[in-house]
Amino acid sequence: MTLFDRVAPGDGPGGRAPSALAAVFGDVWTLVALALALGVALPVIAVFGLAAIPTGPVWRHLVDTVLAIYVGNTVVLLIGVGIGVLTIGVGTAWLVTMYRFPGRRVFQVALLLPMAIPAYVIAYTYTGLLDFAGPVQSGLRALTGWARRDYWWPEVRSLGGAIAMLTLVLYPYVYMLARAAFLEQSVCVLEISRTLGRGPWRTFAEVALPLARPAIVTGVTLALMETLNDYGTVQYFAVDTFATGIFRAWFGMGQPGAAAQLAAILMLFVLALILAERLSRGRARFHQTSMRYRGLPGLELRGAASALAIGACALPVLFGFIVPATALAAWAIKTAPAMVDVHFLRLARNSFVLAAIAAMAAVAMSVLLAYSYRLRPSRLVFAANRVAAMGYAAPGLVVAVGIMLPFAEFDNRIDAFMRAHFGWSTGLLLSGTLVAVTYAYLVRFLAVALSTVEASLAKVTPSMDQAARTLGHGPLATVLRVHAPIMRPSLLTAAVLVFVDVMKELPATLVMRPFNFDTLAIRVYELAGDERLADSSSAALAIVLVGIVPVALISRAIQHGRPGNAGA
Amino acid sequence: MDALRLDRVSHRFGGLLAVDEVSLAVHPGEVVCLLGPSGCGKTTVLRIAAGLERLQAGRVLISGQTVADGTIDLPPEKRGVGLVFQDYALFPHLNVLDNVAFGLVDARDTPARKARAQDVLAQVDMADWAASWPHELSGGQQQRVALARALAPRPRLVLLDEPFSGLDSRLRDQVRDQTLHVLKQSGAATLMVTHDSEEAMFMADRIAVMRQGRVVQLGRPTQLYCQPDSVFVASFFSEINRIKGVVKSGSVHTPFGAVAADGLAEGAEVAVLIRPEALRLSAIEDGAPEPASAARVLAARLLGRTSLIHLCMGDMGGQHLHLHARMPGQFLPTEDEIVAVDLDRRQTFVFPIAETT
Repeated sequence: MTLFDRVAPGDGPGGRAPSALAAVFGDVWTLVALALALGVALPVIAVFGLAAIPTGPVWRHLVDTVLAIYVGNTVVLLIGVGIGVLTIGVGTAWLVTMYRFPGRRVFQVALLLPMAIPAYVIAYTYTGLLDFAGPVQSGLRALTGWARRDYWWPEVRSLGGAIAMLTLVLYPYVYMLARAAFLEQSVCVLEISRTLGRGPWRTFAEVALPLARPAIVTGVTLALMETLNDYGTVQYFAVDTFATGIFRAWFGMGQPGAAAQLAAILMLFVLALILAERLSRGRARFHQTSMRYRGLPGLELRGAASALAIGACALPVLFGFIVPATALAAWAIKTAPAMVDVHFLRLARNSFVLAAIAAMAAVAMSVLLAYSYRLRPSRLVFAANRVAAMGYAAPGLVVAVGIMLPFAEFDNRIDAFMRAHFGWSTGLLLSGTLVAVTYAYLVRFLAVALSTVEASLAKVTPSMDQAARTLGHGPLATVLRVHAPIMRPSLLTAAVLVFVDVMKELPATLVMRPFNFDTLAIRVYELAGDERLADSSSAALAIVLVGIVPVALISRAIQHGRPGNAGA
Repeated sequence: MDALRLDRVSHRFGGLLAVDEVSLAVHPGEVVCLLGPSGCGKTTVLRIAAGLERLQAGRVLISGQTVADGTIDLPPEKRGVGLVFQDYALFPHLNVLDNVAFGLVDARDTPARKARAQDVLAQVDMADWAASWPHELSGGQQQRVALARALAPRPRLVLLDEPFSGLDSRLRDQVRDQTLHVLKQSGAATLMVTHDSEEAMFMADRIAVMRQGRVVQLGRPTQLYCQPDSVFVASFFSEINRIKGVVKSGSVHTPFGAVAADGLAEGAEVAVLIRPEALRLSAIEDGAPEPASAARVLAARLLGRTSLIHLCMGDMGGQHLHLHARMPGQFLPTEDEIVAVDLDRRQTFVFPIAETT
């Protein structure tokens, strides 16, 4: 009997007695879901497993010298970015949702734009703009005649700078979720608060904010996970965190064991974040007590208040998108003729190929996972789906460690075995191949595709299935003629989201890409590392332009998401 | 002094005139209902009174104080009104007691606030639920908490926006009854919006019937029911039979004989409106004299306290009349039986036909 045998011939009158395995795991669908979940979880499990292998003096050395710095910097970074994204994200979300002022509709979308810029790109750009030789300081000196030591200038490449850069590109997570939460709040609840003696500010503080808290916490958690995932910014700003530490231990010191140990600690930070998010939800359940929606009243702001609101919304967009994008474009105009050549096109093609493969694989896996839960809605399959969706929380370098070290070990063993027995070297079979790096992308970005696919499959109600079946369609015909047309746009959206994430991804790509297989993101990283910031702009601009696509998709989804607000 | 006075209040949404010169007063302790079909502007009037909608034209006074006119517009939190929404809009992040205590902003000390909140909860029979969360309550319980929350700060004016329409019909009667008692006990003036005429008659001391942004008739429920001044008002309070006719020498000819048409021009086309209970039916005894008018029974149904009888009346110029009659208790003639019909002219109204549109 094979693994997937569900029907044992001649077994009982119906011939449908389940096999022993099926009795434990359900059946094929359950097994598929479990296998995919295990695949996502394996790298993280491997990291903890590898970290448990003692590295002796190396670890001692790390603890004595740098561990405290890593922890300190990481904590300050998390707190700084947390406060930053909370303030900007919630503040702007509230303004554009509840008030009317000129440009409000533009800001609703524009506030998402900084999301299109990867943190490392904005870090390179601001360094190029603000460092000693950059246009801002040069202009200042030309204007005032000051020399180098005549004035104080904040150091961009610092912990504070890293906090600012990450805040500027990560606040849209909070903005997006807070705005969705404010939109779905019944305006009746807010109005009741007004009639009970609370002014607009106290209503915000005592009703709107507590109701949106779960969403806001989720947004901040996502932003902080991205902060922990960041490598490009902290590396460039020479802020020693776990990400730079892992990289240095692994490649600088040639100590993969120590890298795994640092990765495990970094993963503990992530798990602490997840736990904090869950705990913060607490007992109160924020079911909407009100099912009635009215077009939000939108308090008209006039004069100074209106100007303040415009300013508050304009600043994040200006510094998070317009300034860096303009700078990139200006540099690109100058340097593109030299930089955009055959080599550049090859990088673009590599990026595209990687992203396309990962996107298609992620969508395919998501479809399998979503259908396995639809067809076998058991707790086990549900848990498998949730585990598969947890991969986004694992920082890129953690995933890289968790995949590369076991793969390298596997390759070495096979190679040694083949050489010993057949005198023939197999070289690298898994590590440093497209398979390995695609695997890493799937672990990181499967959640993005899965949530989209799940939401879309949920729109196909069971009664639609039943209607199709009673109208004479078999299961396959039902899937093709009912499910496929309904889900097609969402599958495309899921693919686009993963595609763009892969385009922007830096740390895992950096570590895991096949030899000589560079991408646009790698190019930006390498040129910036050589202080050729202007030269890196063409590739960076290409990444930003691609990054705008999901911003457009998301802003459309939010606009249509509010009940009774379709198309508004 | 009126608890609430609206003076020629008008309101536009874009090009739509939603409220058109509405004037209305609610006296202390009085319950006034704004009654009308959806989209007639009644909710907008309520929202203007609460300060949730910015006043565009007219004047709003609460307890003699101008809260909104061309120059001032007091925000809702300064008006001291209690508001209950159709969907109650309880705060999902606060438990029942904290919901009710939310509006007690002046009472600085917490024990006094809690005590007052507990008191009001007791008035609506929800004292035992103080520690519960809104999502744990049934619709009727949520409605009572919402009412308690609105009443807790002792507002002089309570505004109710379709407060019972979220409840199923059996629960509704009970909750309505209790709400009326609580409101009357509190002494607050109440302005309530509803589209249900029966509900308005149940709750209101006076009713303002609204249509297309205007108050078309204002009065006690009996006045509106017994002396409607338009087809719209007459037909809004119950299902109604309608017969066309022409005025001839001051009256209209109907199958029930002449019906007076005072003040209408000779030859004018009119609609005669007859409430179903105005048609009094009786069985025709054998050998009894021929009744003045008679009808054939198409169907008869018992609806509980009343019976509904579908009648077909002999031809008026070749056309059959289908009428509904309502009789108290169980009155169920068999199909095709001929019954005597007597018309109660006090519940029969004549309006010129031009107005029926």
